[in-house]
Amino acid sequence: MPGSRSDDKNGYDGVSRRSFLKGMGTGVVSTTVIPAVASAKDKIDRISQSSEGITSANITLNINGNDHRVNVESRTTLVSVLRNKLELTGTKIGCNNGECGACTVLLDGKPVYSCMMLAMDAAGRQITTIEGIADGGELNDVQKSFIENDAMQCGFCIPGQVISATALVSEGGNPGEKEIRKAMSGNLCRCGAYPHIFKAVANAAGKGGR
Amino acid sequence: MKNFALLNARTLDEAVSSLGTDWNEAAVMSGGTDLIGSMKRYIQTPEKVVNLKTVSGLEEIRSENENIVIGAETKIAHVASDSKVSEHLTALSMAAGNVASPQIRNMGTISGNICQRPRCWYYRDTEVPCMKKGGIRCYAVAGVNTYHAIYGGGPCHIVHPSDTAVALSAFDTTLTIVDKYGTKDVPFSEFFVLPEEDASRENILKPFQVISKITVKAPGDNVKSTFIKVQEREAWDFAVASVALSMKMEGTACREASVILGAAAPIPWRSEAAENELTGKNITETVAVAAGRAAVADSTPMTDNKYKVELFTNIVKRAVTELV
Amino acid sequence: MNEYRRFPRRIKTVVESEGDHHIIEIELPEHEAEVLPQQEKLNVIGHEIPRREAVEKVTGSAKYTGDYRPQGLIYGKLVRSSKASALIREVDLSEAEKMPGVKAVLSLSRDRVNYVGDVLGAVAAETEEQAEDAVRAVRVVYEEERFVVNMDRAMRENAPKVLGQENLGRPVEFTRGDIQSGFNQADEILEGEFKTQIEIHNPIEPSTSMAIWGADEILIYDATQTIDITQEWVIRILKSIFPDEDISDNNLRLRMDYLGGGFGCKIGPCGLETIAARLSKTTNSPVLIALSREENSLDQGNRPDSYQKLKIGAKRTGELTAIELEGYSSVGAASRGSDNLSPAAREMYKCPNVQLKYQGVFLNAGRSRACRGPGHPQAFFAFESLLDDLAEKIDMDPLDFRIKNYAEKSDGDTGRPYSSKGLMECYEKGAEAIGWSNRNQTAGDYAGDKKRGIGMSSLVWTGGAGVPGSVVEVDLFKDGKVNIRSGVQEIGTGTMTIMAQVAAEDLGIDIDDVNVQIGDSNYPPGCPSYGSLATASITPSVRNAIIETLRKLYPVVARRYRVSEDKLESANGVIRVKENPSRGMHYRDAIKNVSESKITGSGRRGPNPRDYVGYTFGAHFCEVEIDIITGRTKVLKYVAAHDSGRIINPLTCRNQVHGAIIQGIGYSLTEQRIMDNRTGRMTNPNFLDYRILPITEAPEIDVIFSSTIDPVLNSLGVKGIGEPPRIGVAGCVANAIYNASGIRVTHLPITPEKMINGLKTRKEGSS
Repeated sequence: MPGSRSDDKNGYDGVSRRSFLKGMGTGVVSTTVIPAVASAKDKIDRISQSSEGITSANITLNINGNDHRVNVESRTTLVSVLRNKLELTGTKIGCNNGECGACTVLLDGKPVYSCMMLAMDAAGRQITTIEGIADGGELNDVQKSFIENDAMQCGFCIPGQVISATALVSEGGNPGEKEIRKAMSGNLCRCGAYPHIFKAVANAAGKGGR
Repeated sequence: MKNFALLNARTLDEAVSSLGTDWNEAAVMSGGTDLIGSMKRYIQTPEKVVNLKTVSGLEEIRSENENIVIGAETKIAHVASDSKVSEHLTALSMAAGNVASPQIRNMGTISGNICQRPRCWYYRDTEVPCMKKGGIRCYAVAGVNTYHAIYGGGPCHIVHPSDTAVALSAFDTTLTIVDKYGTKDVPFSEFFVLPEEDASRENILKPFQVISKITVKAPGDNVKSTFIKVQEREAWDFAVASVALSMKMEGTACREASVILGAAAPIPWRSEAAENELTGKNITETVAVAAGRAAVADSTPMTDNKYKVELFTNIVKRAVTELV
Repeated sequence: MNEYRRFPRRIKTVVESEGDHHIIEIELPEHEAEVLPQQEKLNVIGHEIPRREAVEKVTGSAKYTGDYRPQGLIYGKLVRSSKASALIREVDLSEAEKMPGVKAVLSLSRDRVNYVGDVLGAVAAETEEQAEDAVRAVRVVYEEERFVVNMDRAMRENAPKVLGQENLGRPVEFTRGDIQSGFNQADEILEGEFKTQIEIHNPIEPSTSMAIWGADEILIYDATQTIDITQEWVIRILKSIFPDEDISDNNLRLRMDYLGGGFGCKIGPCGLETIAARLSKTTNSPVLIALSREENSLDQGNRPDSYQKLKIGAKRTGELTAIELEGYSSVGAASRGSDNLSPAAREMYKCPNVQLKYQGVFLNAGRSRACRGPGHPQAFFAFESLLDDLAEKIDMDPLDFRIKNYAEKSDGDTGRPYSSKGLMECYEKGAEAIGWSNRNQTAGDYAGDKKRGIGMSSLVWTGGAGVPGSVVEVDLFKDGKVNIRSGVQEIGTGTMTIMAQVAAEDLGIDIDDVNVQIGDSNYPPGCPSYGSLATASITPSVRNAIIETLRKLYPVVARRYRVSEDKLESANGVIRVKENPSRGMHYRDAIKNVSESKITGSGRRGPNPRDYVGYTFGAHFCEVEIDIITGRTKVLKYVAAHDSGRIINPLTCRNQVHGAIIQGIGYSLTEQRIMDNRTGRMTNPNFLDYRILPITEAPEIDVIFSSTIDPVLNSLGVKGIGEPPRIGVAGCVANAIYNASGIRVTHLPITPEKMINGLKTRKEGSS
């Protein structure tokens, strides 16, 4: 949606001032990545001025409020970076083709399939994965409701389900049955835990959510 | 997926000047959900991908005079939730609201949706050298063609996969196409091409062109529209059959009608026969049934998709009945 | 050698596994836990307790096989056949070997391939993307041969011979009574031909293995339903490849924390374990192989299709007199038997005369594998459909017809008695819950564009009694906390939670004081996660293990109360004098008197009783709505009434029933593997064209558990639940569709295409 992106829309020039400060504030920087330097205008930005395009680059991904500097190829998908480079393996791969929802993450607050998104396209956006969906250290209402209602079986699709449900609940309002089903329809659960998932989402939404 | 050079275009000029004259030289990426899927399956292996998401100003829906203008990069979710669209272009709002899944609607764009490649499973299988991929044969003819065309097929028998294209066809819609030579407006009905003209493509876009916006003339208050999509599951599925209908009404009489069939043909398929059954008539159950029959009168189903004939008869009738 | 693999005191017992019965030798437990009281409300067992791994699962911290990132991890990918049948002239890996990041290439030296997706070799590279590039650089020279990928064509006389022999496998035959005289006694006889499709298991987690070949240990993380069986196979295969290496269960360890679903396709090795191990040995790096959805669809098994010719005879008064079945199921390019198509015809109802014959058909396609309730859903779809037609023919209510032929004993009322059978209660409660009396008295007699109807199906799962042998180890600590440990799997059924519940019950402690350790071949052998057998196998082991462990504290208690140890017993964690139960002490107090920091003991599950057959039963009812304009069927409401004995955790158990029904609705309405005859390729190895149901299609589901607690099978009175609710769905949905529309669809799945065609035929017939 227009206006909802972070200021550095092109995404490749390091981090925005805002997200940089936020990252510093939490003081959490994963040891597996190199934190971005705010002043550096990075390589990819300059190269992409030419009409040739770029085949690989260092980019900065803002994930769960922290900036991560990674080197990726153009073809590298967001889920590949999350799982293989940043070891954020809570995001799953079920189909790797945008057909199951196991890889769902929030991009600027909206659920998207990280397997169908180039990592370079996610640079400069706010990415939230299952590892960052909790409210600080505490489980969010959706997570609590999933636990109480046993809204899971094998659990492999559940990170994606929780992400979609959290997006819905965060919108506020009081979603009805149809809206809940529609909002959750992009996440397959082969175990078929849907009745409990539905109940969990409805209960969480009923509480007003966060 | 084969690696490629990614070019994040900042302006339309930059985008079109980066494109080539060959499909394999450069591909245009809008939302990316179709292109990335195709590249993952090696159906498309472009050397370069020109990203339109980074072009500013293409993501908007606005009123302009009598028109509703939808920027090419507008997300499908945005189209589905926009109040101007739902009020004036109900069929488009309905079609957009039922595309694939919420995540796809958050990623996919309106221009990407109308330009997406077909879902024919022979086309989508890299190992099958079908006509659309430059081969000599359409594998659907002697293969499993349950979901293939009953109109306009041959020599390739795909159906056009886009729901929003079907809905947009029911209105007075114009596409703005940009290339390095300039900008031109093309009536939506002239955008799509049948396989008999070019089996390798579904529309007139050249490798060096992009769509910048879609302009739809807002119909008057006496025009109502609807969209019906048959799918096996209420989410994810491409249409087995769909219909977009708009009718200009005076009381119970229909003054003008647009009947567009989706998943019937390699392009959104206008049924003039059905329109003729409706235009100038008082809309009754009998008229609705006649329109349904007319919609399929000269269809040419394949071995496995005869049921679609019945299906289109039914949904055209339902669309007409529901609209009045 | 895992010490529990030695079986000193052996006894022969019959076990059921995925619908087949085997005689095995097992070790007897030293002491058996007392049978739990039937009626009394228990402290922990029978309570709705959220699963213990729930927090891990909702935070993404639960580790599945593909989630480990050891130092130096590299990625493997397989080279697969693109042809359905071909001789392999050459597999040229030289280009692949030179690709960036490639660490190893491996040829399996195959001289022919029998299906698209058949494995030819593998590569390992630093990134997944590089591994994929390398696979594409492999050049395979095929000499293509004729192939056949659909059952109807494979049964033709001139069909290509898939395995170099006839495409028909050896038939299974069964006869009871005299079929001819049975049909002679019948007033009405109906015949029908039924087809069911191939179902792909499609757990959302694809098959995955990761191997770390170290100096002291070969560690394999594996997505498997059977840690012990898979370990055994992997050892056997690796020993045959590396005869000089010392490979045994001393140094080959299999681990898995969580399994992302299985439904049968992860029974035994998936084939990736040994390839990952070989690549790891060559590269000296951990190697992870995770299959793509396409690979999983082609090469990790499926539920075979079926073609069934069924004939049933009955008297006008409702008694079944004869059942005859001829069946075929295509099993892919493997010399496998047909799925068991007998259970409905042979087991479900009282019928003295039965004749069955069914056999496998070979195809140039991925092999079949056990899939949730092997054979049963296919068999019950056909049988329950024809039974309803027969009920109509003799003008009898379908439910009354079923009750009329209620079998009290196994084998259609001719065999051993059932250990328990609560089906009558299921019929009664289920019928009431769905509003059975509201069904259309005449099929299709429902006005409007959206027709509603109600149908039902019975079901039996010819298993669910569990198997003996699984061992559980228990540590009791001085602070009262407990570890329980066994090499079972957490597939999503809540196995860890029910183990903890049983332990907490028998130890009289809070469930949070029980720590459950599973998923490791270094633990005592558990049981497989298949065949609805885990609960009835592992929970009695937990109880026996607790008895044995508490017995180690008997000397302390005996000294305290000055009695001999044989005068003691234990209950809810209290070790007490049998004749004077008020004299006793909780183990928390007893353990303070021993010098060790913990007490460890173990116990195993005993045999199944010889004189009974332990099966599970259920009755399904549903209401559907068919949109006659679109041909689409929606299941509005589903009632599943089940006898699975005592329910340890109704919350997780109900969830499992829901899931089976939703899978079953997918099987009934949307799912099917489609093979192209010309190319030999699967047209839909993905989630877009192979349609698993999303949440929009989940109906309201009412789960009813019968009050049955099995009196003889085991000390808890439990039976299995995993497969039973899958079995009745297709028949139930098909019967409801008939009731709504008057259209009998005999070929699954019941798509809009079939309904539109059926409605058209019916309309033309009536006009």
